Amino acid sequence: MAKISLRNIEKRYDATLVLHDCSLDIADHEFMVLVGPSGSGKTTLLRIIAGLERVSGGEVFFDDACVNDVDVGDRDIAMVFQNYGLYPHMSVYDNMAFGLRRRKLATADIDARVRRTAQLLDIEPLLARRPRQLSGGQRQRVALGRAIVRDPAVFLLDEPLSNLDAHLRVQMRAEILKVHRAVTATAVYVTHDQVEALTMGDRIVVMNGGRIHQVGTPGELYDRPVDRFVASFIGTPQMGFVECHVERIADRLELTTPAARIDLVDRDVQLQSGNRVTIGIRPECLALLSDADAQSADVAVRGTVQVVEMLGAEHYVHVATDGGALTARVPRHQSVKVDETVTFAASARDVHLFDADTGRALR
Amino acid sequence: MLLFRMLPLVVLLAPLYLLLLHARLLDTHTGLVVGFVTFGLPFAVWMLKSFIDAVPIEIEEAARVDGYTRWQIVRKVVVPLILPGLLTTATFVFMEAWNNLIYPLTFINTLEKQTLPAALVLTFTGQFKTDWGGMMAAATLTTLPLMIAFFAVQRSMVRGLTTGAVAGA
Repeated sequence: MAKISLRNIEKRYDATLVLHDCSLDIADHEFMVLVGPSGSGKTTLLRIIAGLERVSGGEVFFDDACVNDVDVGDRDIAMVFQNYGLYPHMSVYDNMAFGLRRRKLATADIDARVRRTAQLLDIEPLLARRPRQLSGGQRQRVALGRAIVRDPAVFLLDEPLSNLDAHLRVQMRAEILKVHRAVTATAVYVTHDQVEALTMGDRIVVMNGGRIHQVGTPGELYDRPVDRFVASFIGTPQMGFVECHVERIADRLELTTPAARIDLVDRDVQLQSGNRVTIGIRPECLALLSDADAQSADVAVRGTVQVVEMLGAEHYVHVATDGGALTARVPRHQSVKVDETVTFAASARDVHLFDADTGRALR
Repeated sequence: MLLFRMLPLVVLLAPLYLLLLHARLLDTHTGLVVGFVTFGLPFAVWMLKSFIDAVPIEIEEAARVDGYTRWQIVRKVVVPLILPGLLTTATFVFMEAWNNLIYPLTFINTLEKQTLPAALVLTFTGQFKTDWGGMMAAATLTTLPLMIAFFAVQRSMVRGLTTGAVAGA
C-alpha cells in the first residue's frame, strides 16, 4: 500500500560512485524486479529503499513523503535476505512473532497472525522448530513468512531464491507470486537471473554499472531493448550480434558484411551510408535455410557452426560469422554438424539495430 | 590493546602501584579490581570481537527491519547468539584474576582483604617453618571454584573454542 519514487539517487563509497543518478517510480501493489549482473548496484538500490543504506544524493519518497531521514524500522517495510537472516536462537514461531512483539500487539492477535501466515505458506508443522532444523526451502518459506506476517506496505526481496536448487527455485517463484497476490504490499525483487525477472515482474528494471538502463514490462524489454546491454542480458540463449556497414540505395537500406546481406525497408531509422551498426537477432528468429531459399529472405547470414547444444526438443546452434557470433534455435529434425557452413535467414522486422559505438538502439 | 598482554605483569606493577597510590586505592578491593581489569579487559574485548563478528550481519539487519533499536538488538539478538563466547571469555578472565598472585601481594597489605592464593602464601609460610600439609589442603579448596566454573561452561567452551561461529542463519 505504498508507491515508491526514487529521485536522482546517488550512492558513493568513499571516492567510488556505485549508483549514478537513478530515478524510478514504482506503482502501488506493483511487483517490480531489479535485474542486472553482479556489481550492477541493484542490491544497493534495494538497501537504499529499505533504509539500510543512506543515499549520497537524491531522495526516496514513499507515497509522496520523503523518507531519507526515516529510520529503517519506521518505514513499514519487510525484507527477505539472500541468506534468510533468520534468528538462529528462536523457534520459527518466535522468528515470525519477533517483529509483531515490537509493535506491542496483543498476544492473541500475534498468535492469530502467525498461524494464518504459517497456513498460507504451509509451514504450520514447523512452528516449534529452530532454523537449523529446517531445509533450505523451508527456511526460505519462514523468511517469507516473517516478512508478510507484519503486513508491511513495501515488501523487499534480495535474491531470495539464489540459495535454492533449480527445482525448488521454480516452485518458490510461483509461491512468491501467489503470496504477493494474497497481500496488498508493493514488492521490489532483486535478482541476477533474467528468467526470474521475466517470469515474475510486472515491470523490470535492468541495471548495469550503477545505472538504470531500461524500465519496462517483460514484453517491452524483450521486444524493444533500448541498448545492446539490455538486448544481450534479457533472453536465453543470448541475442547474437553482427557488425555491419550501412549502404543506402534509394529508399532501401542495405547492411553489409562479407557474411551477411540485410535488406531493410520501411524502417524509420536515421542511417547514412558508411555508418557502422551492430545488428542483433534473437535465436528463435533465425531459421536454417538452403542457400537457394536464403536468396529471397530479407536477412541472410552465413557462418560456420562452432557448437551444437542438444536440448531435447531442439538444438542451440552457435555459429561464428566474420562480423560476430550468433546463436540459433533449430528444430531437432534439422541436423547440423560442427564445422559445417550454414545459412540462416530472418525477417527484417526481427532485426534489432544498435549504434556500433554507443550501443544505443536505432529506431 | 592486546599489546598489554605481551608485557609481563611485573612491567605494569610499578606504574600501577604509583597510580593506585595517588588515587588512594592501595589496600582496597577497588584498587585490586582496577589492576585485574588492565589485563582482563583487553583479552575479553579481543576474544568477544571474533564471536560478535561471526554473527551474520543479515540477522542484525533483519532485527532493524523488524523495528528494534541498536541496544535492543544487542540484548535480544547478539548476546543470546554469542552466549557460548561470553561464558568462555568470562571463565578465562575469571581464571586469570583468581590465579593472579603478584597484584594482591603488591597492592593489598591487610591479610583480611587478601585474595585466596595470596593469603595461602602469607598464612602457611612462616619465617622458619612452612605448613605444607595445611597449605595443600587449603590449595585444594582454592581450586574448587575454578573447577566448578570450568565444568559448568565446559560444553559451551569447547563449542566456543572450536567453532566460534553461530549455527544456522
